[in-house]
Amino acid sequence: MTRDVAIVGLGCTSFRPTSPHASYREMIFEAAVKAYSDAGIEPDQVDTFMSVSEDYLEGTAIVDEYVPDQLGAVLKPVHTIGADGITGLASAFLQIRTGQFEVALVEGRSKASNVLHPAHIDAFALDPVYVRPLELHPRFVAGLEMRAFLEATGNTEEQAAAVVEKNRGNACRNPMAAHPARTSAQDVLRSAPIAEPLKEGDAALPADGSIVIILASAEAAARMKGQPVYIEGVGWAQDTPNIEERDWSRAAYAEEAARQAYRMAKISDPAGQIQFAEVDDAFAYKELQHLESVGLAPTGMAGRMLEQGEFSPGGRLPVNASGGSLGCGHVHDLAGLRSVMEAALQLRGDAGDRQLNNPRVGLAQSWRGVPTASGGAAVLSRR
Amino acid sequence: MSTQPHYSTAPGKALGNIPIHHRYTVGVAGERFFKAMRDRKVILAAACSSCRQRFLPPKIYCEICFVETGDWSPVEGPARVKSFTLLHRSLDEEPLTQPVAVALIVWDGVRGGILHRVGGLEDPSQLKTGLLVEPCWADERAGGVNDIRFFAPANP
Repeated sequence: MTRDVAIVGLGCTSFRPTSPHASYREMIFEAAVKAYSDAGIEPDQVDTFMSVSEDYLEGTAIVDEYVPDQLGAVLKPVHTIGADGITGLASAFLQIRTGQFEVALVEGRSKASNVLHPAHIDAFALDPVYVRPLELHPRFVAGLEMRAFLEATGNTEEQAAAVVEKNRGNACRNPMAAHPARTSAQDVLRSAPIAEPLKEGDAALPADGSIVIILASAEAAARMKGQPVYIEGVGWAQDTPNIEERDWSRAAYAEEAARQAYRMAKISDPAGQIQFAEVDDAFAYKELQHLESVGLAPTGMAGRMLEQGEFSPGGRLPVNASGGSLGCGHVHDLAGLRSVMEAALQLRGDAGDRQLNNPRVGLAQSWRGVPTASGGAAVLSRR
Repeated sequence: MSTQPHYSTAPGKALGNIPIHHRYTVGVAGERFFKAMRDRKVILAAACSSCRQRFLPPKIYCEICFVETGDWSPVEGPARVKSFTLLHRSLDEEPLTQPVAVALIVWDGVRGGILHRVGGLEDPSQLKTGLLVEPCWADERAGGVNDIRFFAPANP
């Protein structure tokens, strides 16, 4: 008999291009205070903590050592997840499912503005023998993938640009977003090339922010004040690290992560059962690729469905109503938690001006970014 | 290669860096691969002793069968551009005056390929998916990916 697990508390800072007003630890404190208040609990009621961290991006070695005090987690179990946020969520979910813990907390933060040379960090993630000596800006990988994806599926650069118009427009209704804009697909197509066909406008701009999510067993959740949002299924996967071997026509890691999450959630017909989705859009074409890979659009159809308005807030399957990473800002490994938070807000009916019409089942999906081929998926519901 | 970190602080911000240097072990497969490039101007693929799948870059194991690879042999026939990009930025985010053409180069019957620059183009528009290319070898070869200067359109 497995036990049900629910999200019972959400807290975050707003996302912003820079945050000179607060250190990353102070930003975590802000998110934690809000999450505890949302759940109506105190830190000493949390049994186990998950920290989503990547040392190079934080600029501090073993950065998770600096996590406990601003969460109220000193001398409590803290588990560091060096992966994307949904993998952190999945770890908290599984720890509760063991029966050893009733309440778990997942924390992540991005201080992207602290990183003065981000391309060097992404380049440092390239294979040091076969790829790094070429001394290329790592976004060449996205350029290669975008072209291969578009050519293989028939989706177009124009359709990718339309993703930006939608998502940055959606962000105009999200007060937490760092990069809302009324921008047109034409603006994106006219923006400077980075790694053709990838253009400046196709790439999510970085943002700072912190998110804290509190999970509880269904029994513990019943004793708390808020409306629980249930985690029906989770999954995560990594494709081959060898860039040369990947099939860029699809996101194999997203297919597998979604397959795991759907199986756990007993979703047999994702396109029919999932009512809205927050999928990774670190680059505009990735939204289309991810939608096809998680079974929410047939291969080669995501761009056309987007043009027909199916993924707009009023459409059949709203995608990235939050604004996604294009609109909210890219928060690195926190991006998956931002998607989870938005899905939970939508299911609770707490999404403010961007609230969708009474959804009951949503998908959050994440990608770790260039040059990785890994990510997670989570199916959330309101029962 | 200075190993002195540089710090400077002020009330609003503290600057910090760390000089990180590594010496990576290339490995059994990589050594054999790069020696063949350096000494013989040959690109070697390794084949699984069970399923016969050939890998590039070569590995000492087959990830599918989880057994060691056996036969090592040069790739043959024309190489093909599987995807390409024109890169406009340096690692320091400076715009490049001349964009760099980068491609994934593949061979039929081989899993994987080589990521490399494409050069010798008469015109950037010549670069297309499927373009047949061949390696342009460096005169001075040290045993690394840059022993190939770039891939150039193959002579018909």
